[in-house]
Amino acid sequence: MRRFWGLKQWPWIVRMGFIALLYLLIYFGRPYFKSFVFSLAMFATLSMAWNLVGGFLGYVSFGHVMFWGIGAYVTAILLKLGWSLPLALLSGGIVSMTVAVIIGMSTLKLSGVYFAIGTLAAAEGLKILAAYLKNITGGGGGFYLPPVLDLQTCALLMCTVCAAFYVVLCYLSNSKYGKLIQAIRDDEQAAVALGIHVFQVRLRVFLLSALFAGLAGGFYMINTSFINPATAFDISITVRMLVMTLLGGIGTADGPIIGTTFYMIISELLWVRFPEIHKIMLGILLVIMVLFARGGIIDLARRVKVHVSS
Amino acid sequence: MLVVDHVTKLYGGIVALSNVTLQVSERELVGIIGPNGAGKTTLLNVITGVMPPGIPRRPDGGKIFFKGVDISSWPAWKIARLGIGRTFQAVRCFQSLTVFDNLYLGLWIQKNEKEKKRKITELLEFFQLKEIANAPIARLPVGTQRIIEIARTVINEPKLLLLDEPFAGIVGSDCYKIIALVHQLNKEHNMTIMVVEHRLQELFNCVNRVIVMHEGRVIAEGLANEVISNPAVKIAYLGESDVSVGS
Amino acid sequence: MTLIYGNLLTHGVILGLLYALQAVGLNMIWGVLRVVNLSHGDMLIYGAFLSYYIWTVLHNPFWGLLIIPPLFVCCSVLIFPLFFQLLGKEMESLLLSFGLSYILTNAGIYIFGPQFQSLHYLEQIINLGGIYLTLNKIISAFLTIVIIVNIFVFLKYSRYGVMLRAVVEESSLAAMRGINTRFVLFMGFSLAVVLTGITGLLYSLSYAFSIFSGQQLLLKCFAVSVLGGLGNMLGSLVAGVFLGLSESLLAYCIDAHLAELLSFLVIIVVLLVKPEGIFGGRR
Repeated sequence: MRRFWGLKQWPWIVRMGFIALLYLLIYFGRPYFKSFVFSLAMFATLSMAWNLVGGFLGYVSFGHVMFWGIGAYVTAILLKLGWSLPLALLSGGIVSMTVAVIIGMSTLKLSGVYFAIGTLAAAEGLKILAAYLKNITGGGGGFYLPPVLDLQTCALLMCTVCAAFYVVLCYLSNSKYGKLIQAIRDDEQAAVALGIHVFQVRLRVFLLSALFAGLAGGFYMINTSFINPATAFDISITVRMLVMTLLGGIGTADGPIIGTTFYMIISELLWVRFPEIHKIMLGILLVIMVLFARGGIIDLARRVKVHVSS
Repeated sequence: MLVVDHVTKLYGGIVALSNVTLQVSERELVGIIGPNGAGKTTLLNVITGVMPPGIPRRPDGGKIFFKGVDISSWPAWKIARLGIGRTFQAVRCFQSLTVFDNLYLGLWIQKNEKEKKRKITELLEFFQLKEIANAPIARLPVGTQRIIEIARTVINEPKLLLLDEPFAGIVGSDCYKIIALVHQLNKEHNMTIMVVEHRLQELFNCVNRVIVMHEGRVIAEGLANEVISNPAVKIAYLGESDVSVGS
Repeated sequence: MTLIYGNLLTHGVILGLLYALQAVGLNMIWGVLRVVNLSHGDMLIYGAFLSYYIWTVLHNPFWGLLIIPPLFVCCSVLIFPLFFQLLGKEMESLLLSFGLSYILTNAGIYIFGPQFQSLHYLEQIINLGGIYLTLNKIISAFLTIVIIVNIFVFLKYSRYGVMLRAVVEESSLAAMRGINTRFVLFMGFSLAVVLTGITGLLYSLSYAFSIFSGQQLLLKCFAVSVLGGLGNMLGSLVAGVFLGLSESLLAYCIDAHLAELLSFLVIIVVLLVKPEGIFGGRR
């Protein structure tokens, strides 16, 4: 047992094993499981995207759902116009990144408070805009798309994107660039005094986050074939991203996926019984975690390990 | 090399710097002294463009020139890349990283990886940090951290080095190390060095020329012993307890 | 023609004064706890709903001026310790206020229902030289000005106001002077919360609202605060009136929906160009 824990590669074995498990569920599971894995992969991608900005940079985003929503809308509109699937999806990501540039330029040079305000305002503003541009977006009634891909293919693709993102994040957090991001978090002024272009680093990370959130939105659209402003910019989705990340461990590479898995399993078992007040309970869970368990499961595991070995 | 031209800086309703003018030539060793609140750190902040959050970095009046370039409204990272390095009053190492990583980040803006490794090894050797190269900063004593901070700042070979109270919290042999380091950087690496300090005895062993500030203004300038016998300086320091200059 | 604009301007200014008052509440909490209260909009709407229910039962919403303060102080007793525990931790405070907002919004859907409500009290129209205003709007505007002036005077000159500023700006010194910093901050927070509730009452007099209006009002408070400078009371006043005027004009000239987007545009543009706002606040 000891030697197994000492093995340097064991985190990667666990990660690969988990992803393999997801693929197995997609191939061999009933539609219920295919759908579950799709949602899990999608929310894991979203949580990892949120964590990039909220955890790695320390800039909490309260409007992150907007990138997902933009991805969904752009993909839908372009598919209806006859664009090919990969291009439509990618464009969703690119438009998300464009919006991220605008928001980033206004807020990433300032303290985190302005970023929080800016993202929240942007999400609300885009919700109103989506409802207003009836001719393009279908307005409040929503946008319908004829079905493009079946559930299994959607789930596979989403899972692959999620896995790719996960691998990228793991490498990032252990690389030199990851150290740079940590340094900026530790002491921004010291970093600036060394000639580091802090704003540029933040913007790049933010863009990466927006890209993947946008892709996730595009996949959602393909799978569900319907989107409307209320769903596309639903603050509850941001709250879920947040809670999942906090639950797993904010600022870590594995935290969001762990948190998403836990959350999705628990919510399947629990929320089903309390549909009306589930959102209130979600909010209470958020508050409790912020007050008492900021580090999430990973932090808890670390503390247990220290306690056990002492 | 550095020209501060009638610089005024206001913040929090206080006039932190008022019409400050000074010049530093290449390869000079200059000290800046003055009682608390004189504006010494603000001066460094204005020169490097690094301000506490919430305060705009531009001077409210006057200009700053470095090697003939007007850097008054330049962002801090640009100024740093031009060749100005600084340390801070409170030791500011990257707490969650190791000694090695701190030094590595000092070289971030350079490209050649092999060169970087060589320089880091050289500095670890020089500062006798080899044994603790992979130790997390947070566990090290303040004196060691300060040396690491200085190492991190000089590893990139800035042309102008600004040290903000490098002797604060340092005792014994570490003091001599820093004094020796200042001279070495100046002689062997042609660095221009400006030191802000309260501990006059240590400072006068480092620098040739001294500038005295009080309430945001420069009130005296000259060689160490000249400045100390200046009556204006004595008045400014009245009540301060560390005006004990030995040799 | 001038009559239409006269009416527009007056309504715009009255709306703007209300926006200013809302922003003053937000700025007070920012000033006291250094946290942007993201549940500010929800608190406003809870005040509005309370006022509505008081009107249905007692037929006069102004009873709310007596009922709302104690109720909101009780809420403040429950909420303040949470914020105090996270004092100084920017990210955690933001997350906390966000979570609070989410709880309040969804509890509100459950308690009050998702529909729009409106109050019909003192709706006689008064003609002031061509400008038509309902009586409740006049009273509301008057009260808004009175409250704003009182807050300014209180914070600047009263003993408590000075103590509050001392605690906020230099808490260690204040503690040495024997001031119980925690209690002073609590009082400041409660005052801001009660102010928010009363503002909600004033809002309910003239405008229809639903539980979802909270987010929209929060957005407007942001726009006002950013434009006027975060933490700057005078800035909120001027920016609020400006926003109210602009919104009214835009709603009339172009489209009511686009007027909603104005707040969002203001925030992005101001942050791009002059983040400290017109009067300068924290960066």
